Amino acid sequence: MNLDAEKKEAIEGKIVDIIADALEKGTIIESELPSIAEYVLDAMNAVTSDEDLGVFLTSLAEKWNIFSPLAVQEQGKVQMQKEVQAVSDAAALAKSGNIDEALHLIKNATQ
Amino acid sequence: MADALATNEAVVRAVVEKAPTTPLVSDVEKAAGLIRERKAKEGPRATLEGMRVKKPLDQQKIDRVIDQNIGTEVNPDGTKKRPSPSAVETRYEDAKKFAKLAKEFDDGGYDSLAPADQDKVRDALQTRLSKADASIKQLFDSMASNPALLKKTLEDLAHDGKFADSVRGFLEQRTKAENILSAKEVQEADEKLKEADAAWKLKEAEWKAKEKERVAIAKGLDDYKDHANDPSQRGEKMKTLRALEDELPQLNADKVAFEAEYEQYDQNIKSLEAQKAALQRNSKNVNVDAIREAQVDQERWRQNAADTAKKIAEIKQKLEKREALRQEKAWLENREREAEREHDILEREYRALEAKKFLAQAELNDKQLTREINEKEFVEGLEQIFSDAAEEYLVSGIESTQRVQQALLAEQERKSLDEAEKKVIEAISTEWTKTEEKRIGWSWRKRKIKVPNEGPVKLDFNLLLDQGPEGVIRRLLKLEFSDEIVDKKMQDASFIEKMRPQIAYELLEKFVKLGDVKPEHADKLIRADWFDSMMRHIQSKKGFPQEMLQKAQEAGFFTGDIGDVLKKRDTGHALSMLLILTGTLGTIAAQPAFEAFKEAFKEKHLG
Repeated sequence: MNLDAEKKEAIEGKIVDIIADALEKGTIIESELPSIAEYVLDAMNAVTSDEDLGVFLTSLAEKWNIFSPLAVQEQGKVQMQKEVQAVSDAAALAKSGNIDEALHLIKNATQ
Repeated sequence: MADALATNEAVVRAVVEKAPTTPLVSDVEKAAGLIRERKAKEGPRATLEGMRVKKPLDQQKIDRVIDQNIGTEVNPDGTKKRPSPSAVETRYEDAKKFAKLAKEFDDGGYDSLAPADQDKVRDALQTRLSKADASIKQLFDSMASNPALLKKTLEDLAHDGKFADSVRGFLEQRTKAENILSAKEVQEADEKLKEADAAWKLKEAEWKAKEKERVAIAKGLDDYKDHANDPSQRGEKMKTLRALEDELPQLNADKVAFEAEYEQYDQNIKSLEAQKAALQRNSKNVNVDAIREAQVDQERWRQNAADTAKKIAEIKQKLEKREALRQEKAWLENREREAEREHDILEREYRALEAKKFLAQAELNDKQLTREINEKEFVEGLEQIFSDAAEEYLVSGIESTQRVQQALLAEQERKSLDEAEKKVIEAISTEWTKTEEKRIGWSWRKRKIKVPNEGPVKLDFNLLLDQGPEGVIRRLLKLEFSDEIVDKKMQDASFIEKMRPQIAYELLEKFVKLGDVKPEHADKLIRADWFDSMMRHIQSKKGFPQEMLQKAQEAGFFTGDIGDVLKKRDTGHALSMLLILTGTLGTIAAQPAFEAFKEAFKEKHLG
C-alpha cells in the first residue's frame, strides 16, 4: 500500500516528538541527535509503502529503542488493515463458494 | 577527639557520597523545547534537518574544565600552579592528551587519527567488548590467527556512527561545566591551617619566653639553695644570708651600742660647743687656752663620732643587704610558683593550638586526598572515553535488539492459539534469560538487559546436542503440562516442525553468549538433522542474520543453502560462522559482522 506525503509527515512528526521526550527523560543525549536525524531522513526518503515503513521502523527501533512503541503501534495498524482486507476478500470468496481458498486467505493474513 | 571524628566522618562522606552529578535538566529541557518549537513552526522535516547538523565541540570549554579540575593552588595572576615535575602536572597533561584524542576522533573520525591513536581506539574496543561479552571475546579470540581480519572488524566497529555518538557523548558529559570540581574546600582548609599555624607559632613564642623566665628564676633560686648538713653546697647568696642571719643579733646589739655612743659623742660635742661659747662671751678675761683645749676636745669627739657613724653605716648596710637577700629570696620563691602556673597554662594553650593545627593539617590532607581522588577519577574518565563508549554502544545495541526480540516473541505468544506454543515461547524468556542492571555511560542512566541464565541454558544445550530440539521442547513443556499432555503434543508434527528451528536458534543464541561454544559443538551442530531448518529460520528472521546472509549471497560468497555451505567448511570456520550469526557482535553491529563473515567465506567457497 502506497504511503502518502501526509502520512510520512505524520510519522516524522511522531519521531520528532519521541526524540524531544527522550531527550528530556535522559534516555538519549544530544550527541545522538545528528545520527538519529540522518538515519531517519535518509530512510524516509526511500520509504514509499506501508511495508517499507514497517521495515524502517523495525530497524529504527533496533538502533534506538525509544522508537519501539512507535514501531509496534504502526505495525499493528498495518496488520489490522491487512486483516480487515483479508476478511473482506475472504467473505467475497466464501460467497462465491470458494471456502477452502477463503480459509487459506484468512490463515495467511493472521499468521 | 570529637573534632577529629567529625573531620574523618566528613572526609569519608565526601569520598563515598561524592557530589551527585545531576543531569542537566535545564539544558535538556531547553533543547527539547527548541525541538518542539521548531517542529511547530517549520514542520518535522526541517526540525530533523536541523538536528542532523553536527556542531563541533567547543575546545575552549573542554580546556577550561580541564584547567579547573586539575590543581587547586592559584598564582597571583589567577593561573593555576602546576609545578614541574609533579603529579598534578602529569594529571593535567594526561587529561589534555586523552581529551585531545577524543576530540580529534569526534572532529575527523577514526581515519583522521594517527596510527598509534588508532591502535588505542581498537585496543579499547577489543578489551572492553571482550570483557563485557563472552561471545564477542570468543569471536575476537578466534580471529587471533588472522590479525588483519581482527583489525578490519575492529575498524568497522570504530567507524560505526553509534560508537562515534557514544564517544562524543562521553567527552561532552565529562567536560561539562557542571562537572567542574570545586577547589573551595581545599582552599578553605588551607586557609584554616595557615591561621592555626600562625596562632600556634605565637603561642609557642609566649611559651618559650615563659620557659626562659622559669630557667632564670631557677638559676636565681640556685643561689639560695640551702643545705643544712653540708654548708659547702649552699648557694652563694644563701651563704651570705646565713652569715648575716648568724651575725644579726650582734649587729643589732652593736647598732644600739654604736648609736648610743654616737649620741654621747654628739652630746659631748654640743657641750664643748656651749663651753666654747661661754668662754668667748667673757670678753674681759678670754681664756684662749681653755677655748683651744675645748676645740681640741671637740675635734676628737667629732672624729670619734665619725668613726662610730661609719660603724653604724656598715652595720646598716649589712642589715639592708640581709633584708634585700631575704626579699629577693621570697620574691624568687613566689615568682617561681607563679611562673610555674603561667607556664602550665601557656603549655596547655600551646598543646591545644598544636592539636588544632594538626587537625587542620589532617583536614587539609583529607581534602587534598579527596581532591586528588576526584582529579584522578576525572582523568580516568577522560582516559576511559573509548572503553566506556564501547560498552555503552554494546549495551544500548543489546538493549534495542532485545526489545525488538521480546516484542516479537510477545506478539507470537499473543497471536498463537496453541497453549503449548504459548508456554514454550514464554519459557524462552523465563527459563533461559535473567535480567541484569547495567549502569554505564551517562551515569544516571541504569539499563536492564537480559543475559543468559547459565544453568538452564547449559542443561538444555546438552539436551539439544543429545536429543535435538525435541528434547528441549519436551523439557519446556513438562514445566507446565502433565506427561500425558506432553506426550500427545510431541506427536503433533506441525507443532514440532514449527517450534524446532525456533527453539534451536533461540537456545543456541543464548548458549553462544555464554562464550562456551567449542569447535566440537559446532561440528556436531552443523551435522545435526535439525540444523538446516534452523538456518532457514535464521534466514527468515528480520534484521541482522537475514540481511547478512542475503548480502553474502548477493556478493556471491555462497550459493544455495547456507547449511550445506557450512557443512563443507572445516569446524573452525563453522564455529566462526555460528558466533557471527548468533553472537552479540552480529546483533549490535551488522556491518562489522558481515565483513568478518565475508572474510571467513572468502578463502574457499563454495566449492
